[in-house]
Amino acid sequence: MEAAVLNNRPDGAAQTGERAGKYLTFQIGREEFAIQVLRVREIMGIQDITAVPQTPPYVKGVINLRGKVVPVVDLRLKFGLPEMEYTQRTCIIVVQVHLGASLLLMGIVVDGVSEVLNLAGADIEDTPEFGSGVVTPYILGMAKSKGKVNILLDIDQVLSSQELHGLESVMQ
Amino acid sequence: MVKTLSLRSKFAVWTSAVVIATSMGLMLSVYLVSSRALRMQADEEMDGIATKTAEQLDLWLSSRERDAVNLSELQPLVAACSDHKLADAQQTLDRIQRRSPFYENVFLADANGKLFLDSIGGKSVGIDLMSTEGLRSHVEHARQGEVWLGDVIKSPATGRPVVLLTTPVKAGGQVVGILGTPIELANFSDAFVSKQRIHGTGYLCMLDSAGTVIAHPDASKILSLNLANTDFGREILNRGNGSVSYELEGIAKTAHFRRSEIKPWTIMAVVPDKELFASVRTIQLYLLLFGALMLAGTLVTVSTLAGRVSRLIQSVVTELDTSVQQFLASSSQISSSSQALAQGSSEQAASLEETSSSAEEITALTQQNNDRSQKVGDLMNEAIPIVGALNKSFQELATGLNEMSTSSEKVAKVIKMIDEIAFQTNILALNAAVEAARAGEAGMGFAVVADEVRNLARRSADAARDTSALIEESLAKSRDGKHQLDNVLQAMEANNKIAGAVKEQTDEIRGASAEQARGIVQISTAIAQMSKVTQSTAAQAEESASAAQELSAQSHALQGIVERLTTVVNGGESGVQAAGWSHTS
Repeated sequence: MEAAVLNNRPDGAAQTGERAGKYLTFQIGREEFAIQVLRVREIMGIQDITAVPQTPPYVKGVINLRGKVVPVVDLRLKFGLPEMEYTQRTCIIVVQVHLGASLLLMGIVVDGVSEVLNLAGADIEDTPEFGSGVVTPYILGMAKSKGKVNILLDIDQVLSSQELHGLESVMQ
Repeated sequence: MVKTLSLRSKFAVWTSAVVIATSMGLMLSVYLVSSRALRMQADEEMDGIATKTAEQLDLWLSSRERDAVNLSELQPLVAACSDHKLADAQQTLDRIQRRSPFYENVFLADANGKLFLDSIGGKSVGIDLMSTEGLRSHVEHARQGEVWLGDVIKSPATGRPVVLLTTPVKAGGQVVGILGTPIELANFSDAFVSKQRIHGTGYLCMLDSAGTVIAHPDASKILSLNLANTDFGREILNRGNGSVSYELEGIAKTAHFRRSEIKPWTIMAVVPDKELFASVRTIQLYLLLFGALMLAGTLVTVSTLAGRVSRLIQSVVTELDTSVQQFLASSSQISSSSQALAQGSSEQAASLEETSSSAEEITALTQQNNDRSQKVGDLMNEAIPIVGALNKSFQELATGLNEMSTSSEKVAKVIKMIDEIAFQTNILALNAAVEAARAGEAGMGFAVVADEVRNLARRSADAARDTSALIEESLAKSRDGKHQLDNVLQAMEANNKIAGAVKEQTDEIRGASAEQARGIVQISTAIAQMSKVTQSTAAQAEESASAAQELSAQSHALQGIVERLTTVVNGGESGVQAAGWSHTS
């Protein structure tokens, strides 16, 4: 395994070289996504989520993570996919999100986790242009692996800062 | 052709003859008997009258004699005769005369018969009895001391019939005089004879011993008519008592006569024969009349009755004939219908026999049926436990399958747990990898371990998955098997039901067969009875056929009798007059 260059930069600008490293792959729907391993704090199976009122629909609620209250977001809803019943494969990945200078713990509900992939730079492609008007800041890139295309997610960009703020306020 | 008398005529003639004969005989006998009775009665009556009168005469005469005797003892009279004291005696005589109107005279005569005192003013004084014709005996008797009643003489003084009664007057036992009392017979005769009427014109009369009529309703005959001249008179005088029929002055009479005791006078009760037998004649007349009427009536009645009877009989005969004809017809009908009945009965008997044999066959079949169903029942009974055992085995199989299923499910659960563990292990491995990645260099070894753990987890998961798949397959197979089993069980159940139903049905069949058998037996019995009845009916039909024939024969005989009857009624004109008769049988 190649050594991964850890980067802890606050902004989420992704570069090819910097994009290589270990990624945790997971599925949502039929798509494989991946996020940087360094951003993953913990993986756990699905558990009861305490709903919080007056939150956006993709905000499922909060969970108790060893005494810490962590908000949970359903990426399916965020991505505009129809909601699905949680299976026993459904997992919550607790990720660290940069919010300004601080780190925010957030859980994301995924349909299933696959593995930890060591992606080389050569495997990672840039996000193709889908045309004008379509912006995908949260996609770091695409990776090919075993015939499948993994969408590399920039977790920091999945939720906008506004949303994050909102999330943070929920926490408080 | 000799014409015999018709019934009517015969009837009339014979009845009339008999009636006439009997009535004639009756009338004759009645006549004879009644005439004889009347005669006898008349005889008796007349005899009685004569006798009575004779007795009365005797009584009267004896009374007179007694009177005279009493008078003769009167003192003045005795004194007159013995001492010639005449004055008192005269008074006495006069007194006596006054008191006794039937004395024509009361005189005294001396012992020689010379009258010396009388009560008629001395007119008879001086008459000497000794010298008077017929009075001599008085004196003689008087001298004897006997009272003497003389014969009837015509009184010289009055010309009427008198009878002299002399009584001796005694003084001291010696006859000193004679008291003479000539009695007017008319006194007696007027009282007892002249006025007597017998049967209208019958009368009494008296004759003295010489046959001279001394009393008679026809005064002209008194002392003038002497019947001694006649034969009958002589007969009367000879016989003294009895009856005689004679003819006098052209009139036939019958006289009953009786002689009186004191004086031999004859009392005659005379009745003209015509009058005597007037009633007999009347009877005769009535009898004749009645006889004639009866004869006429009998003839008419008998004739009419006979006619009516004859007509009645004829009508009856005609009716009888009609009835006989009908009878004949009916009897022939009866005969034919009886024969038909007999025939029908025989046929019926034959068909009954057939039916009976059919019934027997049915019985046999029913029995067979019964046996078969019995067998079926037995087989079913055998099958049922087998099926039951089968059922039980299947149940056990089902239970086994269920258990297998349960076990499989348990295994599946365990597998699931393993899978979960694998999953969790995977996650753990991932977490470990993440930590290892975060650790960088230091965590490379850990990353290897994490990888291996992941591999292991993966392998576990795979194994679990495979096992799970196998389990699934097994479960699926088991479920299939269970379904099959359920199907089989259902089929078994259905089979059971069917078997049960079959058993029920066979039981019912058996019951029905038994019933059927019973019914058949009843039918057989009924048929046997019917057969008997039919046979008896046939026999009876035969009998009635023969009876009908006999009836027919009798009808013919009856017809013959009817013809004979007609002959009798109509007097021999048989067949011709009987309109409407036929000799058909």
